Amino acid sequence: MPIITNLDVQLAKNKMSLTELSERVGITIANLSILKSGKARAIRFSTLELICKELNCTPGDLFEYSPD
Amino acid sequence: MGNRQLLVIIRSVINIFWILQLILLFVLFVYTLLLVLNVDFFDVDVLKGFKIHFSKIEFIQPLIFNGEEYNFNLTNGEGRLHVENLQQNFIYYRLFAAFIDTFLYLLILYFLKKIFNNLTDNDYFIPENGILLRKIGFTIIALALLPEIIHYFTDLQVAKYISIENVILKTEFNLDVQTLLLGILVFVISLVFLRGIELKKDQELTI
Amino acid sequence: MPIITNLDVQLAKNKMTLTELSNKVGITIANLSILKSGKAKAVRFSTLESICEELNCQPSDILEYVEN
Repeated sequence: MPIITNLDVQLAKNKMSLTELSERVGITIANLSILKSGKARAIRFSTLELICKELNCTPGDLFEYSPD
Repeated sequence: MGNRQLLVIIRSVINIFWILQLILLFVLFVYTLLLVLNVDFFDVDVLKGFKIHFSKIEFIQPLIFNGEEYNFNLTNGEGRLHVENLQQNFIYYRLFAAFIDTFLYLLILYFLKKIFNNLTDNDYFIPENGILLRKIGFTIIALALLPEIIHYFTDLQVAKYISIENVILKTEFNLDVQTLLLGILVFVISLVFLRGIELKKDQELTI
Repeated sequence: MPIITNLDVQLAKNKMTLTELSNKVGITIANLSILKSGKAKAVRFSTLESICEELNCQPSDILEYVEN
């Protein structure tokens, strides 16, 4: 999948665990795990907004396109 | 009646069909074995009759109706042709078609059994059911075509080597349109079903 | 909406119209319009991937987070 999710990197930078993020943004751990593992098929802008706000980052920090 | 009870009943019916087809397969196998071994204890010539299709049979003797005589003929039928001491393989072609027929029925029932097991486990909208449905569609299409293709070529052979006066043997290809359409229908339904599952997954994996 | 899409900017940079992009990536004009106008509620990663590939850009060029 050429779109890479860097949620783990941003979590590490903020010294935050998935559980913590889950509690703060109100998205289930299950759903955040799907996103983190790259199994997600689409992302809601509302989710993106919440994560960006909480982790103090931009969509570009979370997602990366790398050509095959 | 609850949905679940209905499922259990249908599953029992499928199981009965399954057992009947297995018995049929066994009978076919024994039948073939008796023919191949040419056993003494059984009149093999009785077994050796094989199905023929005819277009027309004309009779020299007239038919008598109310004391009056009429010329008559039989058209478009099938019957078993018994020829004494004939060294031929026609019956094996017929048996081959019957084996394929039975095998395909068993395959359909096997897929159906799997689907119903999933349904009774409350697994309705899963990819496996869609794939099974698609396989059933393909098998029904095969059921509509394969045995008939074998019958057609057998009929051609029979008509080529056997000639009977006043009898026209039939060598037409009888396409089973209903079964073919049913197979296509099941196949299309499986495509829609699989697409639905994809959409559901999209929905679930939108975070 | 704090998540804004800059599809129009990237299209302009590549001197491409929405119709051309639609034809190249196989996504309907209707869907691309929704994304461009900012009416979209979510974005598929597959869509993001084909747009990035075609417009030679990164997700960060298309999606932006602005704080209220």
